[in-house]
Amino acid sequence: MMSRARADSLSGALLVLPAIGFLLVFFLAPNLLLVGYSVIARMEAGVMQYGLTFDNYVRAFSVDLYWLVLVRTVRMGLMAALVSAAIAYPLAIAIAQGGLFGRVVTLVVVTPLLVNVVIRSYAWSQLLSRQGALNWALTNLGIAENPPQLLYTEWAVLIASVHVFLPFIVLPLAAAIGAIAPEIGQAARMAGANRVRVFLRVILPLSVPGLAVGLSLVFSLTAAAYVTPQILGGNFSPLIGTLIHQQVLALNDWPFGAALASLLIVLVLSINLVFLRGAERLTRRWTAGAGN
Amino acid sequence: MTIKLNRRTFGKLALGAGVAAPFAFTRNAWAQGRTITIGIWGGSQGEFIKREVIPAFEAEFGCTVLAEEGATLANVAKLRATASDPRFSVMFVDDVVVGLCKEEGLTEELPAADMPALENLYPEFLYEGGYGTALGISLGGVFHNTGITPPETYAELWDEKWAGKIKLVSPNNTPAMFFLIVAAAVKSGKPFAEAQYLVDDSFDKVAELRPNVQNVYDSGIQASNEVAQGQADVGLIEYSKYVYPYTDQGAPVTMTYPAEGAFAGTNCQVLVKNAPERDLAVAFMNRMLEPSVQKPLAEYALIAPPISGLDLDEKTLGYVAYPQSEMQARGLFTPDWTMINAKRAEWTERLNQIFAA
Repeated sequence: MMSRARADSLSGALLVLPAIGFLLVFFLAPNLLLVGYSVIARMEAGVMQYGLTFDNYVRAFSVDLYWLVLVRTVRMGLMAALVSAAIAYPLAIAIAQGGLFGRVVTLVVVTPLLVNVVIRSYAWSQLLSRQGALNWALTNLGIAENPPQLLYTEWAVLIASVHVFLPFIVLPLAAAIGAIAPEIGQAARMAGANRVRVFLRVILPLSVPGLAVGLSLVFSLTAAAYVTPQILGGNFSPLIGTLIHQQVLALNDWPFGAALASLLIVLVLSINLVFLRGAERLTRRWTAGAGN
Repeated sequence: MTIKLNRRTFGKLALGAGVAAPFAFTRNAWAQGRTITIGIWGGSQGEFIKREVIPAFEAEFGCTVLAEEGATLANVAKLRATASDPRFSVMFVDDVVVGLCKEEGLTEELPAADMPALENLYPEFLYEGGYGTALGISLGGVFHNTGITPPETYAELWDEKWAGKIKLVSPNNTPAMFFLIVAAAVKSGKPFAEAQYLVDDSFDKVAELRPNVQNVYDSGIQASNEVAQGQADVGLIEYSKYVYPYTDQGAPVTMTYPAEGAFAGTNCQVLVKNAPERDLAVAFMNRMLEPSVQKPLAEYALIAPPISGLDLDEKTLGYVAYPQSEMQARGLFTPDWTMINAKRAEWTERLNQIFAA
């Protein structure tokens, strides 16, 4: 007769099977096809040459353009993740505290998700243009006489990416902070810690799992973004998604587009692994001895 | 001739229509209930085709025409993606890719016998031995805010007085190839026809323009709107079809054609190989070339028709090069697309290295 533990484990495995099947068909298989496509052909003088080749990867690493754009993509993803984290903490704490204010903050954070990213990006383009609201305010408040245009710069892409992806870090952070027993913070306060110290010694360490998930989401979404950099970066600061789109749709060079996409996936996965491992270590270090 | 519409004339017309209707339906009975999908452009041309041409065609043939908007390269990508199981019957593309589509076996020769409207087509607008026809000709040049004095030559745009004031077309769009020819012409002092073969050695001249470029744009419609708003002074190089409709509506943006010359931007139609409902597709392509479509299309979208014998209104003639003698007088330049298509990926990479790295 099957033991209860074994039956539980079997039913668990059965429950997970549909999800695994879904990921195999709709995630793993397309990615393998993508990698496969990057090594079966190359474009030469506008004509596709078929045959096993690593030329697409050699080109991606030997032409500085692609390397620079990949570095820019990673840098933009990291900056968006860090800036979002800084903005997200106060919002997440407010949400975790609940009450009417917490519910209002939740609404404010989540509502922008209802608006299409294309519309939000065009709205930012109106705010950041040479004659946009930001420059109008800076000029009329006497802060700057002839402020530079932020539109079509990396700053514009960063600002809009933070706005678009902020909910993806606030919500996991709020969940992690909400799971911290209020008594821990109260005990720290009674022991003489001020708010900053409570944040640094209690909330921050205990919310690291939520932070890691949020950072990972914002980083991945920013690095893979196409619409926002395209509308606000003005092709002066494209991320790799823009170049992939160009290779596939404008130049019909699917193999090279696939090589760039494969590199993007590897890079994003690697950095996510670093995030998660780092978070694991930090949690272990900060919570070591907590039970003593 | 004017018709005075009173009760009696109305009665006669209604009776006539009633008698004629069954014959019209019988004439096109073969098309009843059929559906074709066509790829068209956006902008004012697409707007006119969706609003005027398609409903009239559907009513006359009792069929359904589904129109999907897209730019040339995106439309070619759709043809490639559906080559083994074609979904589109007619595709609208620029002249630049008509030869490419033929070479790749994506399109087929037009059946001239089933397209009586081809008779009026100017011969130079029948492409690749009958694999596509033009539908409208735009002028390629510089667009600018009407509040500034536009450049008289392309060479002037390299002057530092234009710093940060120029919008440059993206290499994703065909007019970027015109820009490369312009850079080669400015550097070499040679006409476009010779300069197009000197582009490889002219990227240093392209790089010199970078400080003057505010951004590299993908949408000509958006860029001309931004120039009208005063966010930049000029944009290069763009088709007049994206700009003149705004000029005509009173927006402060218009085109100028510097002394070095103007480019021809020719919009074409091709018949998809193994097209679903091929005969209906051919009938639609024929309709697109008929004077009943070409005249109002030209006057709405402000593009020159590729057929002879049209009497365009004065306003439209101010915006387009028509008839054929006017096109020849303006010396509109059409590049060697076969050479450019082979070089396009390499040139795009070099442009990216200058503007995107």
